[in-house]
Amino acid sequence: MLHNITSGLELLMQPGPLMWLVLGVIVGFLVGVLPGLSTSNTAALLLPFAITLPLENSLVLIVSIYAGAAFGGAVPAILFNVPGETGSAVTALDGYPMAKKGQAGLAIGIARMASVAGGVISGIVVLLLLQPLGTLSLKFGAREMFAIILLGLVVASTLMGGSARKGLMVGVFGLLLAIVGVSPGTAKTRFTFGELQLYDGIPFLAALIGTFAISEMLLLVGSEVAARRQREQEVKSGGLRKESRDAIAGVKATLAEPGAVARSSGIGILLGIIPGIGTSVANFLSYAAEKKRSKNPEEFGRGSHKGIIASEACDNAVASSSLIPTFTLGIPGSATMAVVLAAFYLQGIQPGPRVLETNSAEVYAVVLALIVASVLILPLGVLLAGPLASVTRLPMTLLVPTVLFLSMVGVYAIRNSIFDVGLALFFGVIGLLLRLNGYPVIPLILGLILGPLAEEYLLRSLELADGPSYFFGSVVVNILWAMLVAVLGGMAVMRFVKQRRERTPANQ
Amino acid sequence: MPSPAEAKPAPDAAPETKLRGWALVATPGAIGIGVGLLAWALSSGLHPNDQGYPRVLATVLVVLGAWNIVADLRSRSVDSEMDADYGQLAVGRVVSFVLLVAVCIWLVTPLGFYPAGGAVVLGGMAIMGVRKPLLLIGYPVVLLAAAYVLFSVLLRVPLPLARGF
Repeated sequence: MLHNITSGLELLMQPGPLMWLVLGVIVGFLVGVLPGLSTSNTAALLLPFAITLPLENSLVLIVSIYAGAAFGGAVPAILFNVPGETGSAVTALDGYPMAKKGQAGLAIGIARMASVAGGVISGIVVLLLLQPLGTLSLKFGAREMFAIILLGLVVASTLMGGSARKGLMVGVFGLLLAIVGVSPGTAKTRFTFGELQLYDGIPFLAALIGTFAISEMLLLVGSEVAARRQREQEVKSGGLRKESRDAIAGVKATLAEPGAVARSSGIGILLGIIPGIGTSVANFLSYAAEKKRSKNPEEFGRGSHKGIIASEACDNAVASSSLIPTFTLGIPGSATMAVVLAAFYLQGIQPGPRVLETNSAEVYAVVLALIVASVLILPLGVLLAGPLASVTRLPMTLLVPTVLFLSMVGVYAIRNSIFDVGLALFFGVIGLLLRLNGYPVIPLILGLILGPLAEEYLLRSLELADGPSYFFGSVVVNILWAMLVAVLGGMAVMRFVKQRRERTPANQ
Repeated sequence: MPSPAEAKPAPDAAPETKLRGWALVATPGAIGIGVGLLAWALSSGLHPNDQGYPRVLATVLVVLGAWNIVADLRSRSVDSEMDADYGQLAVGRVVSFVLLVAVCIWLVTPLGFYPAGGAVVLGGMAIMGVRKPLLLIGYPVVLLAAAYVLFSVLLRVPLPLARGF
């Protein structure tokens, strides 16, 4: 393990990766502060250019955007009660009341330090867990991998978004779209409509940029809410000296609550390992746990330091620990991790049990990059407070057409294909229709990524099978099937309980 | 940002807004059913060994699509506030934007990437309500110049030029 960490460190501590790391954190800040741009969108948008870089540089760039945005989203949440990222919604519960009391600087300082602590603690735990979990996953054969992919897809589809049925439908839609192209069983083409550009399957990046970036922009085009929000929102900087004073006060206030930092990071690590949980759910659970433990729970929601720590430490801890399922199983822990996974595939590397054998240095460099990026949040956050303030003045009327233009360039650059740009627009419209009705779009991408793998492992298992009993022939696979049944059963029970609860007040 | 379905504005929407709400709410489920049926129909032309997997997925998708349509319409009928959410959606603006991008994609081959991209930016700004001539001309020109330096000169992305160049 030590050897892997050293190799990762050697890879990271080069001028190239370090430069991309700093750039990634800065871009992450921008993404976090600007409403309408999310981490996954930006990562997807940058991916066509990132994959022209060496693998470690492209991965470092994407994960450092993730780390930067995890904190950046807290700034508008604290100042205006408008979370820049979904995970920052919980930060607003206590950050905004502090801002109203004239303590915005201190609240941002606490958020900054809690982000650093959560990211660093989680990163170190991930470094320690990666090797043992990777070794365990090496024992998985084709049937176990098929069960894991199915489990990952079902868990992610049911947990992402508000409704399990919606997520599942989108996930299966993605699996079906992944069939387009050449069949792994017979080497004959399927569902290509004679279009040569579809022989290799639906171009993944076009679908990714379409469903993430273009659909988000179309939603902004059609929504009055965004324009109103933009008018209301403008970050002001208090100057470098004041930012430094606030940062120091934030460090002191955060370090005065070591228990809250440790507990929130722990919750973030645990929940981040489960694919699809996402930062918003994890942050709410962390906040609720901290409030329950507190001797003064009435302070929560009125500007409690612990409330901000619970949200921000957990947020950054999730960012690091979601790397574990991504690397060891090839199942993305979040939307941004789906982009990390795509970066691997596009560079010709298949993430999953064997990636720690084939590309251990790159994998460890990425985890270390997240730790370093988390540490950099502190100085860069202070230094860039002024420029970030001016960026928030960029009107939505300029931002949306610019992002759409960049999306077109990004999609075209992958295969020099106009067909792909049209396909991205098609996926943008599909993504818009799904988002409008509260359907999550991430399962579509997961289905597209995991579909070919699921089919391959299924076919391999069927070749090895001497009957259906083969699929229940090991302890591990039976545990995985049991987990799948438990998830589906739990989903049904939750639905039943929810329906009963909804009916009860009507009957009274 | 929250989807209009997640926001909670005032009820009592106009009839046309209600109709739009009914149509929009059923669309994702209808897409699921449509794609599932299409996949099922197309799979009959495949090699027999290739038919099983798509058909299983297509069946599941049709079932989930139908479930979602029924459940979405039922939840909408008890939640009339959603009408107002859809009323806030500027459908015309979205459709204009999609058409603009589609036309510009079609124009890439004859005009080249930069003029077509410039049209996306300029048209997009106009659709979103920018009316200042200096901004409408100046911003796309500056953006395209920056994009040319970044993509064509520095990153050497072979973006197509106009036919004949």
